[in-house]
Amino acid sequence: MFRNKLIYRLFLILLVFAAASIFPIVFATRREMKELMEGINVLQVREHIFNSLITISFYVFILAFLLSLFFSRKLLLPVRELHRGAMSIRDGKLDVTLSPSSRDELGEVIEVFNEMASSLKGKTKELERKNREIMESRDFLEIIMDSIEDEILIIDRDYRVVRANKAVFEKSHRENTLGGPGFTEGTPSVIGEYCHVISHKMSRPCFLSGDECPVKEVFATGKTSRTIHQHGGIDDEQVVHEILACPIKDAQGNVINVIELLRNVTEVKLYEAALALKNRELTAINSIAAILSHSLDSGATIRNVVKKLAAMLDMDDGGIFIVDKDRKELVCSLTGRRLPLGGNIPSRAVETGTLHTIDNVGEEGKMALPWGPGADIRSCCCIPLKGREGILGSLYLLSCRPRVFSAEEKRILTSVGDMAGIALENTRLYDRINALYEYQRGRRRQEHDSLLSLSSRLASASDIKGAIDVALSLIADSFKADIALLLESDGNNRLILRSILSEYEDPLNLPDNYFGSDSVERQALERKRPVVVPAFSHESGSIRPLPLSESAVSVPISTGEKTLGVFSLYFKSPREFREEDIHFLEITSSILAVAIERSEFYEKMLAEKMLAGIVFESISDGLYTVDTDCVITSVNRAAEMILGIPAADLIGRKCKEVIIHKETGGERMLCGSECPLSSAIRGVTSTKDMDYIDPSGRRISVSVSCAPLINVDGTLIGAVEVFRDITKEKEIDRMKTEFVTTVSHEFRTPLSAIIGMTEMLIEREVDGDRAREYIETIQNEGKRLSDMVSDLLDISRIESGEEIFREGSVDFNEIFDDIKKTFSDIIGKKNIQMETRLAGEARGFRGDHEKVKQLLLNLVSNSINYSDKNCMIDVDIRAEGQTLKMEVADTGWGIPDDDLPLLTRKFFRGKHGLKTKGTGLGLSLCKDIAALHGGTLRVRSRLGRGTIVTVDFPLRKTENLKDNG
Amino acid sequence: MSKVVVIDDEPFILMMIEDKLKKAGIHVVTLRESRDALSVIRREKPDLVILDWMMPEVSGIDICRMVKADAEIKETPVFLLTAKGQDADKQIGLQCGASMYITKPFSPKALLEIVSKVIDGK
Repeated sequence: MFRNKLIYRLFLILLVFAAASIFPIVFATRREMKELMEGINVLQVREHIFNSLITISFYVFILAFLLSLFFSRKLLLPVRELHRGAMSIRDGKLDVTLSPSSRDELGEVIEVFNEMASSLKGKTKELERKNREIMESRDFLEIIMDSIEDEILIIDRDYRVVRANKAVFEKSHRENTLGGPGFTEGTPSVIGEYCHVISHKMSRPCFLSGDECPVKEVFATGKTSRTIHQHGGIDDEQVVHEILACPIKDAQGNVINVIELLRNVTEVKLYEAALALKNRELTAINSIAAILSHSLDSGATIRNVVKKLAAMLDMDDGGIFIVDKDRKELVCSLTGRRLPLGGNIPSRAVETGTLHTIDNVGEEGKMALPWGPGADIRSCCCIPLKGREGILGSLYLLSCRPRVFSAEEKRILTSVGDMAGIALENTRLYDRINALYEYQRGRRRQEHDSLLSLSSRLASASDIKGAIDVALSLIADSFKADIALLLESDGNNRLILRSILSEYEDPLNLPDNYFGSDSVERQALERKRPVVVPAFSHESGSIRPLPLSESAVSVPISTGEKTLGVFSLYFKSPREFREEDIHFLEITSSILAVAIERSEFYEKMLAEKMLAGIVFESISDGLYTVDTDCVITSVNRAAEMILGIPAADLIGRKCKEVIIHKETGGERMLCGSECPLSSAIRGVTSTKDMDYIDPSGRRISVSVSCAPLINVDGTLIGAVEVFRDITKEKEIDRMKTEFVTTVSHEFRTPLSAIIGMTEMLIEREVDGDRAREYIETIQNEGKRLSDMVSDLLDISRIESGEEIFREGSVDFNEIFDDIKKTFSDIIGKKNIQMETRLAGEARGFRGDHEKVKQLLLNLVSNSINYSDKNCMIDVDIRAEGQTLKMEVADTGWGIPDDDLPLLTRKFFRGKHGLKTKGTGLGLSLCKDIAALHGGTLRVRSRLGRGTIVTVDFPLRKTENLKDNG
Repeated sequence: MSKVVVIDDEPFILMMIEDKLKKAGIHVVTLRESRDALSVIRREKPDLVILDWMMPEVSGIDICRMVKADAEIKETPVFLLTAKGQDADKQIGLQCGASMYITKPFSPKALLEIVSKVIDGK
């Protein structure tokens, strides 16, 4: 602790000092006091004390002095060290480190000093490095500035140059105060001079002369400025400078200087000017070239060129002279004026092929100009128009003022002359080609019209003979032939005259064998190409002419390898045939061949189609065809009849819209693979039974056969469906099934009694009266079965037409007796009042006695069975007009209204069926017997009141019975 | 004692079944008028009902349906004893809830066997 703080050390010294001085004093004093006590007087004691004190003080002083020396040295040493350090820093020796002598405050000061020295050393090194860098960059900047070929000036706010690069010194030939290159001794310095003096070589600023000064602008706006200045250089040479001025700003953003960069662009500007001149020339030539190439009208072209050139060169008038065919004269294409070739300026241009110009013609010279003295012409130029085969003419331009033609203008004029020459030549060529084209087109149109007319006549003709006559006359007209004839090859190499057209009144009366091997026709046929005889008189006699003819052409008519015939044209005078004429005749022949063949084919087709149509319409099965989209294309008469829809309502409609195919007796639509028609469209033939549903919802059972329709070229074009109406057959089938079902059902009930009861009887499960009852039931049910069988047989015989109608007179009285006998028991039992009446007219009725008896027995039996006791039955037979009326009326139970319509249905047992036994076949048999006699059966009834059954027979006498068979 | 209600419009069928079942100790209630069928079945609460199908007024099928729709008696087994012998008819009969479909003509002995089996199994 004492080593760290000075104050503690001082305190320690004081303690030592105090100890050293006070302890001896205290001891001395005590000893003296003791002696005093022992008898020494006070004065002696005081003296002793005083002496002791002096001694002690002396020692204390010595001690204090020594201690002071020691501590002073301890303090001085570090102070000296600090002084040494400070001195060396003052001398710039920063590399100093002091050794700390103690750890007290002075020691700390030395350590701080050391840190300060080391920091100072670091900072100084950093400063030195930065300084070096600044110096290097400044040198680099200087080098860059001097390396730039453009002049760079740094200008202050007084427009004086502050700094400049090497280029400035070199170009201004002034002293470089910096002593760099370009220095010229004795010349005024650049630095400090006004910028306009240095850069523009001017005595006053450029903005005073109205020019914009970029430096001024930069000082004013603080933004970069660019401009181009033209001013005098050394030796008064005009120099163009592109100037860029940029601001140099201080930290606050104030512009303190402007750096101005001047680039000499004089050469660039000169080059641009030359380029612009070239461009103008090219533009002029281009616009004239465009005029020349755009128009094929030579007059308009020349007018436009002259106008354009005159406007371009500021001339007053112009025109063109064309050399005439004989090359003797020049003709003005605009005015038609003629000049002799030679002597005048336009002629000279034509003759020499070079441009001729007159800049300023005098009064005398005017006479030599071809435009006469009247025209006040002072300058002119004549340009030769050069074609591929020489000079075509001369283009001239006139002016009333003197005019100097520059080299550039002369070049343009020469080029225009060359171009105009070629354009003029092209225009002439175009005109020639155009005329040729128009001629050819006219001819083609004529041929085309003839062929068109021929084709349309042939195509529209139904009678091939008439069509051929018309075609022949057209060809004859087209060639102005005197005789035209058409011969047909009969297949045996013989030619038969089919048609002839003659200008002569007399018929030629050619024999059949006229066209032999020496005829033009035969030769054409053999060679299979046209044969031309321009003049028969020049032939060696191998070809025989037709009477009154001098020239001929014969063309074979053939399709492929097959030759159908030949046609010929004869002329009474010699005639040349051109290639295109022959070609035209060959085309005509081809058309004729196609027409002839087509007409034959058509006739054959017509016959075949007629037969197909007859077959189509005659077959009794329904038939219709569809295309590949299932749209109906044709329907036969049987189909119309079966479907009950006219063909017009079917054709053109989708099959599924009009004839819906459903499964037999069901509601499921037949589509996709199940539909035979769809299968047929996919190429599969099939047969199926199904139901048609027509648009009214009617169901027709049909048996359908479908097959694909395949074209002659093998493509599938649709399908055909043939169908037979099997509704009736289906109905009969259904009725049969129903009948069998019903019969089997009706038989099962009586059989139950027979089988069940006999089983119980055999098993002896019943006996006595019960057994008897069982046996009676078995008998009754057996009888019922037997009745059913016989009734069914009767009905089936009548319905199938197998029943023999035993014709004879019907004895109703006998029938009445039989009835009474048959039912006497039950009539008595039920106390029934039965009355029978027979009118006189009915006696003559003829019919099947047994059947009529069966009928009446059935009706009376019903009346008895379906009534209570004491009821009344009235049988009345009478004649009304031609009708025999049999009426059986009772006062029985009557029939419920619901049952009335079902009464004659087989096996029908009404509500009362519960109470009585029966087969359900009686009334059905009655109806059939009535029908067998041509009669009808009617039932009227009221529940609880009674029933009247009326049977109407046509009154049969012997004679009309025979008639009805 | 077991009880069977038999409904048929043919009296001899009723007679035959009644004789056969009575001998086997089964109490038989017969009925010809099918319109009273439901009330009789509800009143008698039989162990089994034997129905003819084709009956005037109300058919056996309708009675079967009514029995099966009646919460009180719907558990009662129903036999259809009918002359309708086609497969389609049989299907309809069984769909209406009949436990057995017997076609006429039938053996009373065989019928008794089936009836006993149903009654004993109950």
